[in-house]
Amino acid sequence: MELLINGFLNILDIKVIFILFLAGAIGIILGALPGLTATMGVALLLPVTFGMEPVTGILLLVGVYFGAIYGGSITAILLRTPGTPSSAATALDGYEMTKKGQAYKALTISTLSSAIGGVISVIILILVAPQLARFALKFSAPESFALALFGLAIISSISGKSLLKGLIAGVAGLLIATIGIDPIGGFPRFTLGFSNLMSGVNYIPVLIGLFAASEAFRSMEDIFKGNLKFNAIEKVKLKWYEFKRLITVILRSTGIGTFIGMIPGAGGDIASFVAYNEAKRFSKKPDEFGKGNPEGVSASEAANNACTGGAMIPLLTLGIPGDAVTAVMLGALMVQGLQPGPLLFSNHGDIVYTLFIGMMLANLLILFYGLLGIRLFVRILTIPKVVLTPVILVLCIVGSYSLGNNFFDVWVMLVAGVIGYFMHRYEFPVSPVILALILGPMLEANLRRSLVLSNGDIGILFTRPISLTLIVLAILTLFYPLILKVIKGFKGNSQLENSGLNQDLDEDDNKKDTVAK
Amino acid sequence: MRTANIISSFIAVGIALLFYVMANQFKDIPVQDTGPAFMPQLYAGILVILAILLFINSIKAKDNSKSSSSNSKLVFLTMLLITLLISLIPVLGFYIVTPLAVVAFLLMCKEKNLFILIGLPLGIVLFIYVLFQKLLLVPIPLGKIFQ
Repeated sequence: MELLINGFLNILDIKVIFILFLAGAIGIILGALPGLTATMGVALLLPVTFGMEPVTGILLLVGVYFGAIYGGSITAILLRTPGTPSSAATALDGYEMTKKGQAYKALTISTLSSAIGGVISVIILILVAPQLARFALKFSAPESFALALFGLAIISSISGKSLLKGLIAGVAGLLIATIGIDPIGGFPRFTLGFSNLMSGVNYIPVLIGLFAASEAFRSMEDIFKGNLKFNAIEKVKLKWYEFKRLITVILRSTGIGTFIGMIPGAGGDIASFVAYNEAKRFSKKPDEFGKGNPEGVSASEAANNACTGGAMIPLLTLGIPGDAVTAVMLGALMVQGLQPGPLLFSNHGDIVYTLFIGMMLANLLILFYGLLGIRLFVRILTIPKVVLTPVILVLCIVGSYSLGNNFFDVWVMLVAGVIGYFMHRYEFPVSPVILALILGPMLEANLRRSLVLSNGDIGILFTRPISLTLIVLAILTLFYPLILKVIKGFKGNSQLENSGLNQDLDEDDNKKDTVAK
Repeated sequence: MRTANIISSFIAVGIALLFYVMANQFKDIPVQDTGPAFMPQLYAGILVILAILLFINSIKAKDNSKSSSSNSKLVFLTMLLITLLISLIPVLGFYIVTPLAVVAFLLMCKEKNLFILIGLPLGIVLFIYVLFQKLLLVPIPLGKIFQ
């Protein structure tokens, strides 16, 4: 407790607060732009931190990281252009809300959910980090395979009208994910002689193409029809009773986000899809998901921001980075002379707890920037589509190019954009492709690694409790719509039978009455 | 939609077969019975099954779709313009080709406002220069001619 109070007092330094404010703004701007990910933002600012004091330097990176994850939701909601992969799930319902004229409300939900998710995940980090980190270490290849499988099963939730089409899109995505070097044997697959394909198809240009570019192409149809602006923005504020309904979703999604964040190899993108799926499963109105349900926005945003705190758990307690951003953070900590791991808490407790308080403040700044900026953000929608469409398309090109400074990614984005346009036209959902591209490599590598571990015995996947639980959950999740249909059909039949029985009884009674008369 | 679904199922089978055949030519480096072709062939098999299911469903279903091909002309022109833009950037450079492409786009949309016609291309280029090139140090391609 004393360390926490000291940490709080350390944060009150004007220089630290200024850096956090600046980092939050930079993060939100970077996150909102397609192609500029949180990893890129943190990596770009890493050299700037070398000359700073440890706390200030690390908090600059933390601020950018947290801000970028939130920033991705702004364009996902307003333009169906997820700034970061973590916001892909947000676009599903967020953009639908915008189309209904509820952008203001969607952004408020996203801001509140992000901030609450982030703050709670930091509290979890403070309270139970070492215990959780030990649990996360139990995730070996079979568990990671099962987690990837569970993630893929979410396709059933994000397939929209047709599960079959969603599955086709997902399996096609899995096939594309096999392009590149074989993760176990090192054999190049489907590279067609392109050296750029050796490391596989980068899913970020595909994401930009499928969501942003395809939407820009679709807006050309609106321009052709003379529909030059978005629906009028209704300044519909989030009401208290509406927010109360979302609290359970936020808390559940925060738990999911924190848990997934601490598992090495799984990040905000997976967390947001898993939380979205669970929100749909527990919702009273699951049919409204994908059509502008606030719960969808809330679940995805709470989870991806909670993931940031979760990702810090193995980093700080064990020195294991869970994803690319925390890998850069690990470098930053080491440059500052801090060796992450169990000894960090005993040797540099004051710095660690100052970081914790700083992280909490960084999440509260999301609330500050978000709620203050909503009026400004929604003004994007007042820009005519004729002006906005070329801006989005140029940003798609530059964003894809800046990922690796090569044109290959730009071509990938364009091809994905064209395919995305036709997929939407023929009612094939695009989200399963992204999910498959993210999870495909994780699925394959861990399945084959598991088989190596067990000398080819597939039973290894079913004899470990965590793995078995996740596989069962995956099967239930995938077939949930079918199970639901069967149950509904069964209920319908039994009701029909009951009503039929009642009818028979009524007829019998009538006959008896007639006979009696 | 029925015809589109039938065509889609054929495309899906085509893609699956392509991957399957290509995977067959991989060198056999089995690691616990799973070589490099194991997963692609598994996925290809599943894709074929799903495509056949879509085909059967589409054959059974009634066609209740509405044709919307009339709006496609502008979309295809935009796709063509973007393809041209991406092809020309490495040669002529981003700062020359992009403003021209944006003007072409605006003219294609019959935009007549002179402020937008001049201001938008310049604004985009300036934004990219300041944010990406100067602040984020992204090496925006200047083209073979100007390098």
